[in-house]
Amino acid sequence: MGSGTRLGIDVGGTFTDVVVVTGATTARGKVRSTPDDPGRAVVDACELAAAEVGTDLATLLGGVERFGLGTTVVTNVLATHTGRRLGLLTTHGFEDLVPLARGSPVSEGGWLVPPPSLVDRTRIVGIHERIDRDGRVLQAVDADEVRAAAAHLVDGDGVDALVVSFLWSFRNPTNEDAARAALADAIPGVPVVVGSEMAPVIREYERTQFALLNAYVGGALDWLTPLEAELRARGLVAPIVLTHSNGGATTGAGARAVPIGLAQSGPAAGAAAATQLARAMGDADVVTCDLGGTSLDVALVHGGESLRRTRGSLLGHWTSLSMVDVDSVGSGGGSVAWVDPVGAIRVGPRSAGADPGPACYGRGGEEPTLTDALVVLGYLDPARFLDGRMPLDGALAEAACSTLGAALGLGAAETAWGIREVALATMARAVRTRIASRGLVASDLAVLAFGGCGGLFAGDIALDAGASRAVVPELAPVFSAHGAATAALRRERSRSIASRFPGDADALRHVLGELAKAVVDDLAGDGVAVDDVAIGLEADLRFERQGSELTVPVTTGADGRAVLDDLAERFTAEYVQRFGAGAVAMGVAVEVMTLRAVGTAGAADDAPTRGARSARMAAPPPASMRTVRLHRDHGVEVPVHRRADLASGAAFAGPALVDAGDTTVWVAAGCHARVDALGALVLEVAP
Amino acid sequence: VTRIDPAVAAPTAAAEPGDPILLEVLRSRLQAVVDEAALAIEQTAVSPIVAEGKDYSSNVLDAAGGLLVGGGKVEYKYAGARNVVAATIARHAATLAPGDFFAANDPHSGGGNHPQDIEICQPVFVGAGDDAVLVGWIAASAHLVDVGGMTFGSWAPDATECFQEAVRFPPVRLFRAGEQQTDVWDMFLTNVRLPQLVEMDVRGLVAGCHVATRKLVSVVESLGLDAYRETTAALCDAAERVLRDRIRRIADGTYAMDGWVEWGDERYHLPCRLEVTGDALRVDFTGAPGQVPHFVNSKHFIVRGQIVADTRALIGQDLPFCEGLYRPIEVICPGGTIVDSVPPAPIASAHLDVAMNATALATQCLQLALAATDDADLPRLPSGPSGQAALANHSWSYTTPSGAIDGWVLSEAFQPGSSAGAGHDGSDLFANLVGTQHVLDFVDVEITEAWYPLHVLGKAAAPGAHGAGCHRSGSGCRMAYRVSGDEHLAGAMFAMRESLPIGGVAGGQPGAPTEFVVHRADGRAVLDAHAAGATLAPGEVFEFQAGSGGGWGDPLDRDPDLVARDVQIGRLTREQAEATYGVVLVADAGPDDADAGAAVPADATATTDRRAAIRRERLAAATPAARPIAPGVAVDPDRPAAPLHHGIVRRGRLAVSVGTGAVLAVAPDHWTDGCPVLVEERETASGRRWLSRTYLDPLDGRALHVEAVPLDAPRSFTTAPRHWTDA
Repeated sequence: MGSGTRLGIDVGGTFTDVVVVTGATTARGKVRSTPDDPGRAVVDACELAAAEVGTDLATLLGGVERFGLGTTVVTNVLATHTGRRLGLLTTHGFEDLVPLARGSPVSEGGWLVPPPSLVDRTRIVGIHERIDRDGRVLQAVDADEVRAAAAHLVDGDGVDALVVSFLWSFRNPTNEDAARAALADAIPGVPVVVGSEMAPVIREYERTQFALLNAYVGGALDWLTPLEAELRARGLVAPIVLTHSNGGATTGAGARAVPIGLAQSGPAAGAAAATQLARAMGDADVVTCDLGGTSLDVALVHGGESLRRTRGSLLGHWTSLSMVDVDSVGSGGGSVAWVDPVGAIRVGPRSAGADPGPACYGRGGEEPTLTDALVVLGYLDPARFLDGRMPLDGALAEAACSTLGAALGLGAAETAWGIREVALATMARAVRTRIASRGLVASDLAVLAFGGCGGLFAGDIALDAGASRAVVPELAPVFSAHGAATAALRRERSRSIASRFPGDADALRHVLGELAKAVVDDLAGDGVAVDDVAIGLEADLRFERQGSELTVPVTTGADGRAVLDDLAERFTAEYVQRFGAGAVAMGVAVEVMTLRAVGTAGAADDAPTRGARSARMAAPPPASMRTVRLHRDHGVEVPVHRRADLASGAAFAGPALVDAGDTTVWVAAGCHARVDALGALVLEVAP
Repeated sequence: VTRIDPAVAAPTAAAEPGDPILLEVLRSRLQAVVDEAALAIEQTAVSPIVAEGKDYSSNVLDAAGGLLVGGGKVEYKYAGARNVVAATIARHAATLAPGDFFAANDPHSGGGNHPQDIEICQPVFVGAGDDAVLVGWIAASAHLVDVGGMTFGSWAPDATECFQEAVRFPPVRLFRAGEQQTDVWDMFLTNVRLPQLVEMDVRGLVAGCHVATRKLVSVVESLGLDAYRETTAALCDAAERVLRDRIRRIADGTYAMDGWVEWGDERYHLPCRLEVTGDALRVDFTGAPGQVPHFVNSKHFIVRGQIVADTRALIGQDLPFCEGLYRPIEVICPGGTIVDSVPPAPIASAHLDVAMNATALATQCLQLALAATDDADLPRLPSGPSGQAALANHSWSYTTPSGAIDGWVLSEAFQPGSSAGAGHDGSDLFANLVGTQHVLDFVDVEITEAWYPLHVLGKAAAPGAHGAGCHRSGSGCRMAYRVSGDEHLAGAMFAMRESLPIGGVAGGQPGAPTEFVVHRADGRAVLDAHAAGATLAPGEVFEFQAGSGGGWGDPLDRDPDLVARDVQIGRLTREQAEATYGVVLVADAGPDDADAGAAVPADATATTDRRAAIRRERLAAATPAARPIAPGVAVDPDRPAAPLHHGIVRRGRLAVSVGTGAVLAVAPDHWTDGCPVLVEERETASGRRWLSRTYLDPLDGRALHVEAVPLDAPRSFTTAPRHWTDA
């Protein structure tokens, strides 16, 4: 792809961010979101972007070669329980399986409450049909029974979307197909989602959940079509692509076909931007820390790729879905500090949210939050918060900390110090666990921090987790929009195998070939030429009967055929890296559970040369000094640099603060800071 | 890199042991240690019971073996961690070295909850060589699919001694100073079926301990040894202090409940007595029968560990699960009895039959005490006993064409429905309504069918009017499967609540019993719940239903719409709705009436009438009160009401029904003495009989309490707070 303009927009609940990248120059902006019609804020953001780069909207849109969109609207449907009213046709005798939700019950005031079901038990109807494990039809579908059930649900119970999901349908979809055919006559106009079509993988619960989720959020992206039309009318030529939960981009049509794929669009866009940056940094391994108002989201980039998972929980709904593997802990800027029964300071997971927000916002919040602690300690300058557009009230922050501390015999400043330490311990725990879950070595990793207050904790998280450096990118506050602008188009196809490895190796190769071809066709449908597609093959392997699998890339030989000879060995090597040599028992067979082809195209390749470094030079003198309560009992005068004063190559040692207007970066003592060629602030941790 | 410099962290007056900042920073880091271990175990274990059922745990203990923190989903296992470390210290204190890994499985000599639960522990040292200092222990445990003995799965109903049940070992080294002790591995694995599966699971635990040990060392080093020791001690002391504060607010007195442990036609009476005195609880099982030649026998450490976990669930969920919680809770289990057996007592279900019943009795005694406590600020979660007191299990095994043995213990079979609670229906296929234990996930039908020669015919929440109440119980799993290959299966059943279901609370009715049935060509056969030797031939069908907890409140007080919903989803028949709940559905709902799944509303007038009639019928059929209150005894309305039991208050020396104002008893008589009693004989699928005994409000016939007892048993519970007996 050439060096045309890339435009990335991240539609959040409160703000819609925009980033414009043209060659080496970037512009960014923020407008208020319009939840009733998200497309309106997108147009607003485009107009703002045009103004920022000094042109008109038509000219900007006409020159855009990538229009990337990340959005939380699908997530919001799940969070607010405002999806479609669903009915489910499933195998008779198994009607209870979906409401008997998988995943942990949630404690509400000490009561263990099962997670919510996407479909009420009264709207689940058993159909007398059965396929066995070998794919044989033991009982065929009776179309009359299906039609009667559908009539009962749609006419009698007001269901506005139907899901069909039968046992073993991924092995033989005959019965699901027959049911769908019957429904097409019976209930024209009512959307029907079929399990085997959405996710042809073993495990009926996850497969059914995936179909239910797609049906539930269906319609959440209806605003895309009019938006695309409007932007076309205003000069846009490039198609709109959306950031999928797997960190790749998908077309508008692809997103509407499988809308739940966008459930983690926001975090995935951040991960996509991180992947770009990691590549630009020379394929560094990175742990990303997106620190916002309510939570810290942690993900990994390893070997130039975001690490993904093939199943997981979406707001309490367990399902199969290829997604960037993100852990979230309730420790963000708005997290509320409290004292637990044993007399320890705790921070989060409850958040003061945007309203009333932290005490220092002056909107009536009285409980101290992490942001209040940062104000009291001097990390945040109340007068210059968000470039001075939103001054904070330091006295209110201090009063809130003082009240909490009084019960513990601590003063306001010492309480604030404790709040920050405790929050940091929670963040470090999340980062350590994330790293450990993939068997990676912390010292090989860089902490990449973004989000509202990521820069204030990046260095300390790196120190605590044992990482070698922390990176705060220039676009940290609008990082997800940047990811939407740069993510590669990505299509995946997978098939359940569930047999001993290698078994019939030629059959496996044949499946991989079919999957690869299907992916190329998918991308062709997205408008990508065959030659522009990069295909990657993967296998999910495990030792016989294990509960979870490892994904291992499958290489191809000079003849273009998949190389399977060394796959078991590479699986074992990866296994040893994660879990230790002592974890491997001799003589246990390896199973191949799933084969997958991944096609990508259109990644941004306009990042500066890999590993580029500018000459190191001394930073200009700091703009000011500020007292920061670094120690439990006393503060230290630290220099404050203005980000705008720091050119590429500028270097200085901590402790220091860098004020970037809409965000602040803390350079801890023991860190050496440098502005790299990409404009990112790199904090090297002294060994 | 040192993150927390003790010199920086502790300069001010407030920074002493128990410092509010250090406490949480350390707790958070210790939790990270066990979470990382749990992650490694879950990802490396193979057997479905560990990998998918999540039947494992990981713990950090202090150098003396005191519990500091736990990970994994089964809190009951933490008792095993304490036990194995104590036994390892007793046997090996003089020779401990960095890199040692110990394993034990015999509950009689340092193991865990039963021989199938292998306990792994590793001493953790900081410093090197002669300067190495023992700073603590990592322990981990998982349920192994087989540990030898006479039956696949090592639950041998025919065993009369522990020697027949399993290969048994006290703490022995799997690794000595990092060196694998292949002799020990060989000896162990030679004695188990499925040695590869077992080896993988044990190695998963080793991996977990290995990860945790490294992390714990870095935590101790970053904090400094002295600060680590002081802060961990402070954490335990603080938890103890808060728990004692809460116990102090519970009404002093004596609360008692009787239970029965089943074995076929045998029933063993298990009395439980709780004394609340000041800031301590004393649970006394004196009077428990001597140990029996069946695998139900338990151990004191197991019973106490479960009682501590469930006490925390009721009044201390917000407290860290650590050694401090054990200190205020004394549990008396006389030696040589079923609650603290000695060899050669068989012990394969040491954490189930006796222990779960004992725990349910203890928590229900605590619920009686909380119901008699006048303190609105005390945390309380009024509910029936955990459905774990109805856990039901079975195993099938077979020989593969290659001559190997394979088989399963399906984790679904464990899943009873939970008891209901105040304001809450119970959960289906999930034992606990309160607490933090997330015991056992499900396995997909497709995974089960992919692995084993069986074809599942159905899997559901068991229908029926069991556990009826204003809030009803959840349902246990009802599942049927057919042998789909040529295999002949050999099975063993080992379940609780075959002959006596869990009782209800506050007028709710008893739950469902456990059932095992085989459908053969020549008909239906009910299997005993504690028996080996079952067989299943190709084409035959095995069906089971796990039991459930009891209901909460009189079923006649349940919202009729909720009853109508249960009819709609097939949970209740119309007849059950009317007979048990007094809910009459609209009679003529048109042609859709016959349509499965059609919603038919309740008929409000007919329901009101039917409910009134049932109450009248109850009073007419009831046995007169033991000590009816003379009509002249009147309530002094100026006397303040103090809670005595659910729906019953004390006014002065009188026990008064809240619903009607009826006087039930004069102190110190038991409050039930003035209640007419409805006695109904019931029979389980296996033909075993029990009594449902309902204590009624004498004025309106509302059920105040329902107990499930053997035919000849007297009242099974006593609530005697001091404020009542001394009134």
